Amino acid sequence: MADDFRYAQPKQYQRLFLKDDIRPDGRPVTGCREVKIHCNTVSSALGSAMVCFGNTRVIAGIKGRFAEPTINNPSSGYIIPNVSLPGLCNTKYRPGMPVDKAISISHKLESISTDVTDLMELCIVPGKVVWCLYLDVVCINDDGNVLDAAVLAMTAALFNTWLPTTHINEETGLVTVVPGGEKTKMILKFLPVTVTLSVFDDVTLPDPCESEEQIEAGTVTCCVDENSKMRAMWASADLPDDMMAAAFSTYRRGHPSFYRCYGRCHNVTRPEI
Amino acid sequence: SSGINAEYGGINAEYGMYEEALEQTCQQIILTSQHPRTSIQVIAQIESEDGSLLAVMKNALCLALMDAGLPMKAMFAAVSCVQLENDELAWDPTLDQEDEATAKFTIVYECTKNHAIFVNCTGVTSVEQYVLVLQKGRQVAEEVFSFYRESFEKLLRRDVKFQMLLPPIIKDEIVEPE
Repeated sequence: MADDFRYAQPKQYQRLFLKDDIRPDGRPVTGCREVKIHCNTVSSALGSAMVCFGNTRVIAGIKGRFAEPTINNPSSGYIIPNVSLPGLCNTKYRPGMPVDKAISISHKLESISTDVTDLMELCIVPGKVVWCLYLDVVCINDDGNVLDAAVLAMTAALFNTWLPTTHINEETGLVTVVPGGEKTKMILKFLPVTVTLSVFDDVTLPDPCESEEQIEAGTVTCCVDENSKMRAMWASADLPDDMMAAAFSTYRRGHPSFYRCYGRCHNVTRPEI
Repeated sequence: SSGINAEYGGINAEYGMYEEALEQTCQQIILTSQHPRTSIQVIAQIESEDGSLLAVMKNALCLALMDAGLPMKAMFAAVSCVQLENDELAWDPTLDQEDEATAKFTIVYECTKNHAIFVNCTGVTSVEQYVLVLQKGRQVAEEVFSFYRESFEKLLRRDVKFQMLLPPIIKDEIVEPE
């Protein structure tokens, strides 16, 4: 009977729970779901990570290719993020062109990844050959808040990326990977943490799950780093200023738990060749 | 649904983000319950680009929705700002200013309660700077709203039906004392 009510009147269903300061899945109003990070899940990739926010599961993998640098930046490589939300993660996605949501998350990852990494590190021969890292983020299960999981997966994957040493053949100019050579770890300038709040009826709920995303009035996403500097903010919700300020205090409270998760990733050993 | 046509070139991830931005604002503003079982398609054609692209797109969207006569919850105005090297703010930046910026802000305000209904901020900045931009941006948005009013008054002046409703234009005549 509760299910019938939930399908018939989802907003009323949510309101009944919020009256008692709790959310339908049992979390407190300002609670986030449990975050799990597994690193090096894809052995064929240069770096990879799988992130679980409750039931939302996202895998990020990094594949490196050699490429020519752009004319504007001859000694920096590039990272090309591509987020895919396939039909298997949620029935609302159909096969075909990538959904607007996927393209928009790709763009957000691109703006964060260019800030997080020093692209000059990816240079092999200035003006001729650079690393081009394809960052593929695949959502396996969409239970809401894919953006946060994607950012965390991207950062964990970049954190665990080991770039192989390259050998340049002087005569032909061909660049090849040295098979048994030393690997260098990617250095990240900061560790971004994004927190998404969904706005419902003048209440902001962090880390919305899928059913909450369907009925929300808007979202506010903020990306901060370890020094509490704001790295990005995307909001599309009708919010008065004081609610924005209250939302920031939630971010500041939320991110220590994320850094604990990153800390667990630090102790990952170098992968076997 | 929305589509962005670039000045040149094909599909661009950035335009996918702009499409989602336009769609989000449309969903918040248009009273879709007045038009059930209808699809409203918004197409933005970029004629030329020199910075503040998203803000200009949103302003054009508002004027287009008003011109189409679609029922809206409120009018909205977009404001764009960049943070330069010395933490200075430059409003309505050109492409050159955007290139040397450390942070970029695009904020859309709606006219009834002056809330910010859309924010897009990238780059390194602090929460205090963001709050400052949010407050100052309202004053800049006022200028955009007054521009909307002026342009609509000019348009409606040509229509006989509305001439009664508009305030009369008082010409400054020098009256010679007799």
